[in-house]
Amino acid sequence: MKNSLNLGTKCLIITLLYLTHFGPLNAQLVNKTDILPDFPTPISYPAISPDGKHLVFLSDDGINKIVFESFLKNGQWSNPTEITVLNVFKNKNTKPDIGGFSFNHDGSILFFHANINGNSDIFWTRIEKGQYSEPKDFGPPINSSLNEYSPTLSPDEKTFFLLRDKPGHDIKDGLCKDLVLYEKDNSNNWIGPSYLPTIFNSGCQETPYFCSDNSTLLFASQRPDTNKFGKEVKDWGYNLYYTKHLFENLWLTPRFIDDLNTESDDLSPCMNYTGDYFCTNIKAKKLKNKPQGIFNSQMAPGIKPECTLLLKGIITNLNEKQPIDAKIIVSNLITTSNEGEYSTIDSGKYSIILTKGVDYKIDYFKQGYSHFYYYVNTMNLATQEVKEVNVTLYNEVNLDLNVFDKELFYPLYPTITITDSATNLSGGIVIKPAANGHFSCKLQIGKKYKMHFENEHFEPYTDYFDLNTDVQYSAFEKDVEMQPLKQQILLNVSDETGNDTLSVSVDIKNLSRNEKTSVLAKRDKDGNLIVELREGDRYEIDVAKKGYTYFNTKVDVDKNNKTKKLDIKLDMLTTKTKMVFNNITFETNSADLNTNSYEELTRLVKFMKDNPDIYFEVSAHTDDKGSDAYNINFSMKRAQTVTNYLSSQSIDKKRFLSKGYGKSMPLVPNTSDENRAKNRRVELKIIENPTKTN
Amino acid sequence: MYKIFNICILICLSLTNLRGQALRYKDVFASLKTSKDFEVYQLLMAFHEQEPRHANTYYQLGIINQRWMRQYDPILKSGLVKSNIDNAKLYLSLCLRFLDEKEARKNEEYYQNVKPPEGKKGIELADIVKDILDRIHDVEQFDNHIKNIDYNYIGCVKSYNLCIRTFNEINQKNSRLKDLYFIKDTSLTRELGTLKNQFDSTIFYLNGLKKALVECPIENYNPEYKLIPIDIYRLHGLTSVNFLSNKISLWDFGSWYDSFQKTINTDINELFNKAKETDILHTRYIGSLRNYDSKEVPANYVLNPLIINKFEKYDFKSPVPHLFVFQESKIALLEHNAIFKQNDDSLSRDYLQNHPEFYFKLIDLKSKSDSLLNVFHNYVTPESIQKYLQFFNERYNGYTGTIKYIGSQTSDNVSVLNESLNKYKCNVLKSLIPDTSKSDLIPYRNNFLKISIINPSLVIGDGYFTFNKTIALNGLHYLTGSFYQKNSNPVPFVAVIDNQKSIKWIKTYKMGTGPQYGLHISSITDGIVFTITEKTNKGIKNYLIALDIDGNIKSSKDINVPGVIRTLLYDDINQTLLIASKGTEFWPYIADSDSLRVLMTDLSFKRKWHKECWFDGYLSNILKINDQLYIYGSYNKLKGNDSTSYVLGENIYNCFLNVIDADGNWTLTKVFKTDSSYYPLKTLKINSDYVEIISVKDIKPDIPVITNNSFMDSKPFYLITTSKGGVFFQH
Repeated sequence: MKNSLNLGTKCLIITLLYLTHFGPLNAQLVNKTDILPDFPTPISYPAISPDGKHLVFLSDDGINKIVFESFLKNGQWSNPTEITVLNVFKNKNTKPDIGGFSFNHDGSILFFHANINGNSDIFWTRIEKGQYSEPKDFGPPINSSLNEYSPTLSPDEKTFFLLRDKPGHDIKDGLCKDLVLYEKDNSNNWIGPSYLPTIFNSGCQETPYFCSDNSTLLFASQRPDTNKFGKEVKDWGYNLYYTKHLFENLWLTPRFIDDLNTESDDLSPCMNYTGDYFCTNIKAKKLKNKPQGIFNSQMAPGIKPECTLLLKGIITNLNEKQPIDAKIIVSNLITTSNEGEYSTIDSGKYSIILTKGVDYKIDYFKQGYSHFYYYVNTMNLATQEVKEVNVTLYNEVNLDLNVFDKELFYPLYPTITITDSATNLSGGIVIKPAANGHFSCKLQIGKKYKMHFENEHFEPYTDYFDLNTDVQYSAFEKDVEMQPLKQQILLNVSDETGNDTLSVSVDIKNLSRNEKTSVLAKRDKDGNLIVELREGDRYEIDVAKKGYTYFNTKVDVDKNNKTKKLDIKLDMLTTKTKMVFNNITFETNSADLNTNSYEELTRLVKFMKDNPDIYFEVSAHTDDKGSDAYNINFSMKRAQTVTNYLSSQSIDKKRFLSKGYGKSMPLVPNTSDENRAKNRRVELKIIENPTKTN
Repeated sequence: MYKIFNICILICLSLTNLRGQALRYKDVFASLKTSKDFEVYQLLMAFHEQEPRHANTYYQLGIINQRWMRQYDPILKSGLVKSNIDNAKLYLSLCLRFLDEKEARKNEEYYQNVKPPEGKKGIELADIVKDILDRIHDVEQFDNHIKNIDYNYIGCVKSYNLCIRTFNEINQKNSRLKDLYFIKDTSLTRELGTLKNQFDSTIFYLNGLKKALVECPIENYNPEYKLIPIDIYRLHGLTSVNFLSNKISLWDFGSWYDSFQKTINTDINELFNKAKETDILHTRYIGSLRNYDSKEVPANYVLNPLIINKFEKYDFKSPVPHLFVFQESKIALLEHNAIFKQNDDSLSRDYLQNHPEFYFKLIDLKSKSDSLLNVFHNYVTPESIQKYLQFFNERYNGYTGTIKYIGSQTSDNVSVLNESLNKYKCNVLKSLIPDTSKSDLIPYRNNFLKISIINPSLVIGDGYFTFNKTIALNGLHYLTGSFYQKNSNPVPFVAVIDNQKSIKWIKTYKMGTGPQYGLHISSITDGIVFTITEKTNKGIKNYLIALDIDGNIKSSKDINVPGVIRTLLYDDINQTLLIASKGTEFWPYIADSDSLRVLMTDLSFKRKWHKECWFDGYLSNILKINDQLYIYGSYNKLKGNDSTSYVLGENIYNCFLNVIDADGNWTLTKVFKTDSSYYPLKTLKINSDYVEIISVKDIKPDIPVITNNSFMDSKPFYLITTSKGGVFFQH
């Protein structure tokens, strides 16, 4: 026996043991009621299910042995009906014999012995929805070449008691049996038999019943003894005894139960799990006129099993709302030891009896489903209690993925591939994108997923999400931060003299994100400024130095670019310094500015304000198409549009002139559309202060 | 408890007499050699019931208990081990109690484990006593070891279980880890403290257990632990562990806690600090821009998106980033407003050329700001600000204060726009009021030239009245109008003045006998083109006259188009002239049901195309946008390009748009309907995509009205339309 009573309980047991033997509070048999008074034939081997509502017994008139069952409805036992499966099974044999019924802890299995071909073995049948399965042989080592009788299984299903023929006993003197037990090892194999100590197995034993507290063993025994009045009971046939398991193979010395025993054979103690409904089988073989049958009586608390907690419920699937079968593991929270493993019976239903005095953890497992657990403390259990816990398990979870740029935390919208890492298949996983880089998908529990993220201009990212583990929540969130790819840009800044060590201000704006970057320019060994910019983004680079022309360009940091080098020439502002603005454009055949020209014009205004001492000529130029007069007029109009704008931006009108040069000053030969486009331009030329000149 | 238990056994067993047959100690003792411990123990107890003062029974029971105490796992069977320890001590002590010389001498063989001292064959009482005392000492020492193991084992299991429970409770109450960072309640602090302390305790006890096991090993039990990172909230850190295993995998609550606290102490605190700093900066900036009076263009403020992104990383429902984004938009609105506050009072040509773009941007910025304020409003709930309670309490006086702030900002945005736009509309109205001052009169040959533009309908008295003007490429101003003399019909003229308003020359041009008016003038590449409209009882005749820059007629033509010319547009790039005429009154007659005639000619006045559109109303303006002509007018009834009729209620006038392409094809008609009448006064191109229409509502802008002082009190209606004929904004 791996489970022993806790010490406090033992103390109480011993105390009560003393009191029951010597004190005035000896257990009293308050009432004794024949529960099937009208049943016509003698009855043997009654067994009551743990819920107290199902009775199985054997009718034995000396000729026919028939298994009956009855159900407790509205406080009354129903008319017994035959259990066909068992009776058919029994009758298959040449020496039909059956008996020793007992239920397992949840009433789903009925154990019994049956004589098959002259050898009595232990069998079991599963009861599901009122139907009995075909009985099965318990098999070795429980069943052996010897005779096995009257099985009873401990509530934790780790100890199996049964009777064997007493060694050395002469069968001619009648059947005489000893109590033996088998215990489950860590691999769930039955190990045994172990005979109970000699002092325990004195005389002949019958019909053991192991109570729901995993400690109290009741059995019938025929042995020399005296009752509490000192009267010898050797003529009383079988009497009921009880003992309590202390630890290992140490038991309390079996005690004669004075107030239960009669001068007839007192056999087959059975009860519901609380012990509130207790019955014995009285067989009046010597006192012919005395009643015999199944008698219900009450037991005093000292003999009653310890308080237990019946935990029961149903396990269902969240999605289909259907019962599912699962494994339930009961463990001791303090020692973390496993106290029992149970399976559901009868479509998701379960029932477990928990003994008093333990801090339990109850875990519900099913492969591919969520894990659920809770704690039950039976330390202060004062009464028999029933706790119903219906558990819902689910087989899929929702995973929210938040994908960010690792540096700037911008939401990203990558291509996400989620596959079962075992099969490399996606299995139809749908990834739903939402706003702000959020994605969501449903994943099956019990699988380990590989998640792969591909986002242009970012390093691919792979991660795993392992749901082949205990899953207790149905929704998860995971942040994925992707590393942006970078490209180096070299800025070679020089003036017209070739001085490339100018101290310039470099402003870099990420146009894709409307963000002034904090990228610091470093110098390489050749004096170039180096900046690392994010691949895929468009940048605007402003290089300026007071007293010099300014440089502005937009750079698309392309994928797989080699290091891009920008040769930037800043000219010292002197008269006749020219600046060409290809970004100032106009509507077709019009002097009206295109909207996108305002950006360059804004820069020009800033330049004017930063260099308040310069005077300049704004000129416009055309390509070679059209007449000279037309082009002169046209370019003049365009130049005026620019100066009008500058004027509107508070640039003193005295600081500039507008001039249209038509096609007279091409930058490049007008030999192609591309060259013509270059020639259509606005220029700014530094001039002497016109007022001074005048 | 254990002692009570043992005493119970003692009392119970000693007072209980067996109901069966009496045992002989000789038999019981003999079973020591033949039977298993449990059998013997059961027999010894039974004998003890018979003879409770029998010393050797206690000795044997004590020895068995001493042996048993080591046979059981002190962790799994700690109660059993403890009771064996206690029983061993009790029985051995009781043995001492009942042991005497006589017993030692008589029953020497029953003390089989007592070895005689060296050199002696037999044992004496002292030897037995020593053996018993040694045994008690051994039991006590073992007891201490067991207590130590028990203390540490129970300690680590309880501590770790509490970690699991606490972490699970945190997980249950807070579905998102990120929410935890913002929770400031004491219960979470307490839970996190428990988690950290209990995890530290787990490690402490576990290390203690390992030490205790060195002193008192348990067979096959040598626990080693490793820490597993808690990477995924709600998936990890929830399962308990089997401490009986030799390889214990513990969830690393310590690192999780440290990382959690680190995130709070760095990222989250930084976020809150940044939030406060940013809000203070924005508030200060908004305040200064609202009362901006500097001539300097305010620096363009850009909110660092990192702060927004970081907030959203941790809480994508946070109202704070939306507050900042709104504030950034508000700053942009005020910055823009501040830029043109500086030159808003001018009524120059530049003003009307450039301000539509400014106002358009102002409207756009206000609209963005409103929209972002609305987004912020949507994010502000009593629940959502809980995470930022301190921030909102300190900066906005909590939820109610924040809602008030939103309300005040909504009103303020309206004020900013209204202040500027009303001023603009007022300036546009002002430009329509005839200049009756004499400051623009330039004396000329006993007469004067009035250089400000006036409508012919408003002319009173004699003199040269300018109806239109242009600046030629030579920089001189060319004016056209009519010369009025008593008892004579008005005669059209062209005058040239320089920038100093000095008249270079004035020439009159008479094309017929009736009253004639020089209504429109335009500078062309090599001179001037102007129109003369002759208005007689027989009708209206229109002429185009081309002059060189000195006023000599180069060509003239009766263009054979009835109606008063309303527009002369010179396209210097395409070298074309566009003329539009309608009605018989000089002042645009509101209910004019004449057709609008649009005529395109080249510079030799050769007609390129001619198109007529019918509407009951007046022409407001024709704009050239992207090579197409955009015709805006007021209508009560209108026939569209696809012959659709648009009819408004009696005396209701709205604005319409007809689009004619460069080849004279009428491609689009759109109407801009409102419930009440409005009359377009100015139609200005904002850019290639938008046009602004400034109208007056409810009053008809006829001559008596615009000359009345109350005209300035009228409420102009401001409409921005898209180049596709949609309405973008109205005010």
